[in-house]
Amino acid sequence: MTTDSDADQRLRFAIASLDEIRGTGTDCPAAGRIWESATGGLPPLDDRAVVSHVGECGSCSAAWRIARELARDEAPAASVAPSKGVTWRNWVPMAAAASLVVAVVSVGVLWLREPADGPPVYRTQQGDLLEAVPPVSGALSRDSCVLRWTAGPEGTAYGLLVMDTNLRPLARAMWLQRPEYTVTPEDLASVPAGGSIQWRVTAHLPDGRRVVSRTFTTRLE
Amino acid sequence: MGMDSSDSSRGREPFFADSPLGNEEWKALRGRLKAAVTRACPHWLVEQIEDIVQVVLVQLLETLRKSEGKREFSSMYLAKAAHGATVDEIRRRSRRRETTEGDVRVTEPAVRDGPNPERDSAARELGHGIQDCLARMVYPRRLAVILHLHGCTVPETARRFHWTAKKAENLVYRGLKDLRRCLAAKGFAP
Repeated sequence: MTTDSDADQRLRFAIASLDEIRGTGTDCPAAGRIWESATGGLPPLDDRAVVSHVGECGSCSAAWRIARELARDEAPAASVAPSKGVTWRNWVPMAAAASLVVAVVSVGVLWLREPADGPPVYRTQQGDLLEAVPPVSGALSRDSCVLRWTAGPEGTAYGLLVMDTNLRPLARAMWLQRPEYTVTPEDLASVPAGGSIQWRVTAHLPDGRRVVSRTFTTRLE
Repeated sequence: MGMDSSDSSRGREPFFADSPLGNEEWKALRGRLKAAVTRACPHWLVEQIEDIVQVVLVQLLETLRKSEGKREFSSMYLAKAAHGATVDEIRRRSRRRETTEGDVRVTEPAVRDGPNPERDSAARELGHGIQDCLARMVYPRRLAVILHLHGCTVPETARRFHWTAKKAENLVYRGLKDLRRCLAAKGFAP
């Protein structure tokens, strides 16, 4: 039996806490090779060598995990095992069923989403766990600009990056214990009256995983 | 308008002034890249995001110049570029941290500003114990456990190494058993 247990999560967290390079780093695979391995693009023999190294080098372990997360965000389907035995005979009904599911889900999503004239929300990554709370609709006062988002599991720490609309950083915060942050008027000084800020949250989950929210837009008074 | 189309180079860093891209395209590329780098960066590298973006932009600009501006960058390409630059920075930082004082190598911990230094320190100690135990493990079990600890499922592990699912499952199971036994011998509670 190989199901995940709390003990496995503890081991994962421990592995994720390391980033020391092994030895002098001369035997570390090139970043591109780590990417290929993490995304399943290496032949087994080469892949074994990289994976084996990842097990003994904290720096390459971090590089491997990051590649995997990035690639998964960009191409979620790529991490799904190719199903065997799918032929044109069962493809047609499957496609029809899939279309129906997509249509139903789309209607549901459109119904649940904010009105079309609400603030823009950019592409979702894996951070559906993290949503702005309450749904960002009205303008916030710059004297009381409190950004709030949904909480992760107990023990989650949050990082926050606040930017202007040109993606210039205005404020950063790390290791927040609560899912909220007050942006100071000084940090917002360069944002014109009626302007907007963009912000995204990174949640560091207790099991060592990292979840990044989509980018939220909040208008200022 | 500060950055209009009449002078597409205005408002850019001098190095990028002769970019083959128009100003709006340039801003869009920078934004996409920055989003990729922000996702790639561990929390302890957040301060370096701008530097990393700059490094990748230089690389992309070179590629663009070689292609006379015809090259387009997919999201996956940008993610890979962001990954490469982030890994370089992780390695640079890791090397910087390791200083040699005579024969004694001093290594600063990876996480120094966490909310729970005691927990982080214990995790690093356990992490080093795991690395040591993995090094002693039978090779196929070691590979299976490493992948398991990095979030790979049994079917994925099997596919990677052309194993049957049953074999991969057995290797993970036995490998984890070895690992726990080894850690217990080192004094780590299960």
